[in-house]
Amino acid sequence: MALARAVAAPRTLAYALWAWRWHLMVQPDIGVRLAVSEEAER
Amino acid sequence: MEAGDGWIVTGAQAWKVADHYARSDRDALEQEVVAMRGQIHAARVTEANYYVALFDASLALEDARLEVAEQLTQRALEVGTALGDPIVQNQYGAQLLAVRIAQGRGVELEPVIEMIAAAEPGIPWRLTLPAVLADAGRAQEAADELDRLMDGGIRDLKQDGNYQVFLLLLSSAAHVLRHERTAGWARDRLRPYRGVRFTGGVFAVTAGTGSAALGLAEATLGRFDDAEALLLEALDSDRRVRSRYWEARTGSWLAGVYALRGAVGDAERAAETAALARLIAEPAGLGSVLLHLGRHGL
Repeated sequence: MALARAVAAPRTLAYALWAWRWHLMVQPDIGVRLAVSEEAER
Repeated sequence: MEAGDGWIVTGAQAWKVADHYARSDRDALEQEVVAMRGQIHAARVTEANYYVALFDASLALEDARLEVAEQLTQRALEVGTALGDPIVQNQYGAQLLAVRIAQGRGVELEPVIEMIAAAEPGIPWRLTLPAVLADAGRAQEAADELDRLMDGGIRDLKQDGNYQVFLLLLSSAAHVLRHERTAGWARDRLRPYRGVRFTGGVFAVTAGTGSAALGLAEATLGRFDDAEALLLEALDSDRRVRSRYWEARTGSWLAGVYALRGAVGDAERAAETAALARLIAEPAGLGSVLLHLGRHGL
């Protein structure tokens, strides 16, 4: 994700975030999951 | 806004839909889908229409509108195919299986499960078999499958977006089959998910609540009072999220627990709970619910 941000590749960043969220679904604290999406929306 | 930025925002919104569901917040879920549609239009991220199509099908199943859910599942397949989405076949298989399981006819897709399991080795599709075989009355084959999993096959289950769906399917299969080894295994993994509603990845497939899955495991292990408390908690969540489908499924499980416990007043509780589940299940064609009530003579 850092590399995608550095080279301004938003679609690569989007895929990285998607993969992160996919694995984050095992997180029982929903606030943690939401925080990642809310950060991505900013 | 660049197309890539739109991708990031719509992707974030897609996951938030699942998060709202996990918290039993139907209003926030629906508002998020509306916001996502607006974002797709504003940022011209047409590929994300596939996810909205998946959510439409999922909502129809939550509402226990099975025919509509199947039509919308088909529509999602068409939208995803037209957009060239790489996961379209897998998602279609998952959504269609969810509808068939709701109907109590999951076993009709046994050849499809075998086919996708071979084509998509990264997703442990065979873990769906114990539940669908048990519903079809093929108890020995289903129990053999659970034995195989508990003897080591379960290592295929990854901790990712599909994890919760498989936990519910395995716990419910173990409950029907009285498979204590699987129930004990599931209980240990389900404890952190009490109060959390389950989805398969984004809101494309739902799997009730962690409370219900845990309640089924406790009941299988003979801890009926714990099971009752958990299933009542699950029923409350089902009603808050306005899921007619899961309300009926959970109700059938709770009625079955009352029938198994057999304490003073449980026969009346079982009959009353079963009647409420049947009120939803019969007109909606929820064969899964009627099948479970029938197992307990309700």
